[in-house]
Amino acid sequence: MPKQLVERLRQLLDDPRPDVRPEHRASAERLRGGLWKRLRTELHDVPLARRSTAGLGLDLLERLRSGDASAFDALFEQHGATLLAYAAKSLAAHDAEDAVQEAWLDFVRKRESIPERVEIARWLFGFVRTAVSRVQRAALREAPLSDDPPDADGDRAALELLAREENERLAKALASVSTIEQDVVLAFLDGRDATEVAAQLGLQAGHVRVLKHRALQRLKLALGGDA
Amino acid sequence: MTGCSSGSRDTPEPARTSADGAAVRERLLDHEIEDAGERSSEHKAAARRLAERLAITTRAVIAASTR
Repeated sequence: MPKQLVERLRQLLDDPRPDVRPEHRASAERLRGGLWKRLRTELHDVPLARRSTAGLGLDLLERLRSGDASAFDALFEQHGATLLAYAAKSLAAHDAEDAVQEAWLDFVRKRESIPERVEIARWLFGFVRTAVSRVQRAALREAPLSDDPPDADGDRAALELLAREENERLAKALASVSTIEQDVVLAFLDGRDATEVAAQLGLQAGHVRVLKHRALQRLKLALGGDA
Repeated sequence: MTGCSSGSRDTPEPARTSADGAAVRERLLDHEIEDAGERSSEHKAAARRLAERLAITTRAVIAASTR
């Protein structure tokens, strides 16, 4: 959606409309809130290719591609601490730094294959996400499996409730669990079973069930205990 | 979302559509970026150290692979 149109819509929705009669003011206020919320939601659904390229960081990417190393410094200055914060949510500090370092080097090596018109920050997060998931999976492969299997019936019921959850609420709740737990839950929600998820992530099915169980407990809390 | 079951013990019912999956992943990334942005100030010092570590390596990679 063009930026000018968004701005105009925002102005219209924020317009206090002095001609609204006092008895209708509360309804108008509710309507305004609802419309603004819907507009924001729909904006998120606009394909990336149709979004403005302003602020995507593509100028820095182009400089990086042409061999200008100072573009790396500028990109790191903009995103380095945020990416570390993201990795540190799922990993210990030392591992988080290693994962972010690995992701940056991957990003620099693959800079030619990054498509135009895609926000650089999203690509960087994608690289870090992959690195974090790799570290977590490697650690899990070393971890012994518990002899006490999680409650399969309870987890299946929780997952069925989660499958009916609204996309936005589900996305927000998933942000509260670790990267590997997100991968597991999203794969189950895509309709895969434990064996398939294990094969996809290079883990044992028992690890996958434990991760799913742990994630569902946290997601229940994040969703207010109703999932 | 669509109703679809494979009958597997671990498969949710109903399964979500691939469009749901893509939308959730996209919005999840938005939330992750926002959350990390809010916590980034706690990681400034570590980011500075990492920038120093990466500066030389990155320049070597760029020099070796620039078109």
